Amino acid sequence: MDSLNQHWTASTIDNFVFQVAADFTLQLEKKLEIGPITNKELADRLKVTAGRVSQVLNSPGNFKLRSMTEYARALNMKLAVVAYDDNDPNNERGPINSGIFYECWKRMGSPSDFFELSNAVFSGGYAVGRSSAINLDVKLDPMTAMEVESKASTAPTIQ
Amino acid sequence: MPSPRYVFTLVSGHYFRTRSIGFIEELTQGGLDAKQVYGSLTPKTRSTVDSRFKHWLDGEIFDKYFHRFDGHYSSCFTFKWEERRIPQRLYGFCCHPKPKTEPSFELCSLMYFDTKADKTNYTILGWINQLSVHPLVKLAIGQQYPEFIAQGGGKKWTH
Repeated sequence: MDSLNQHWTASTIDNFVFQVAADFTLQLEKKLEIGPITNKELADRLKVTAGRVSQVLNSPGNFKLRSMTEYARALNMKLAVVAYDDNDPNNERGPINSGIFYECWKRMGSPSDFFELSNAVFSGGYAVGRSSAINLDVKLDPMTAMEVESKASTAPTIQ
Repeated sequence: MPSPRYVFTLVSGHYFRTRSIGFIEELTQGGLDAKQVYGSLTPKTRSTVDSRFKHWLDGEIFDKYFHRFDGHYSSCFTFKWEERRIPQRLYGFCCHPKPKTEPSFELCSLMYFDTKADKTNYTILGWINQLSVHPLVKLAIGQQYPEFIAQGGGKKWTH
């Protein structure tokens, strides 16, 4: 894409923030859909009205890091802020969906620190990731599992 | 009555990897209002709709934001949001516009805007079904995706 057709999140910082916040609220909405916490219970935990929760989820642009944390914790979730370099300096492709990071983390067995991550990588990724994932009741897509195993077996040794 | 003139344009400001979104307009009599409505949204609402677009382009699945329909209307698609608690909808249809070189590539061509009452507007879905196989609509899409007409309009949309 050229500058005349730049990604909509590249035109202003506010637009980029909006998309990041929209990715976040989508994760909250999915959690609410699964249950057991309802919109009403979430509102009670946050000490706001259900209407306010609905308003925030429908218009996430004003989310601040503090309120994002409050919403995530109220749903028994946590959040991480990830800075990354996706080789797209002019932001022609838009931000990577935060759900992608979350899914990758789960597929690696939800490592809690760099030691667990390292173990997962050195033992072929999927083997450790699979056992942890089963413990955490995470369902892995079989095709993805095969790809990870295949890549792990052909990956160069990490010095 | 003059023949209808259909024009297809890709939505600007988005990056298309494996999916794309565009608008079909009818220049003779108007009536296909999705592009005009999208262009006149307030910046805040536009951000909401753009974030919905991006989520679909990213491969997200979340019926509260967008979904296809069942049965006779299986190629029809809608993007959803709310404005002052009134449900808003953009309706169109999905197809595979690059059947030869990239068969899994999906295009969502949006045509109509509507505010949702109690039930789904099946009248609009019926019109979309008719237009989705209209030779001049296929020709319009073929201006952007030549394979679409070369292959007879692409195969029926499947997930």
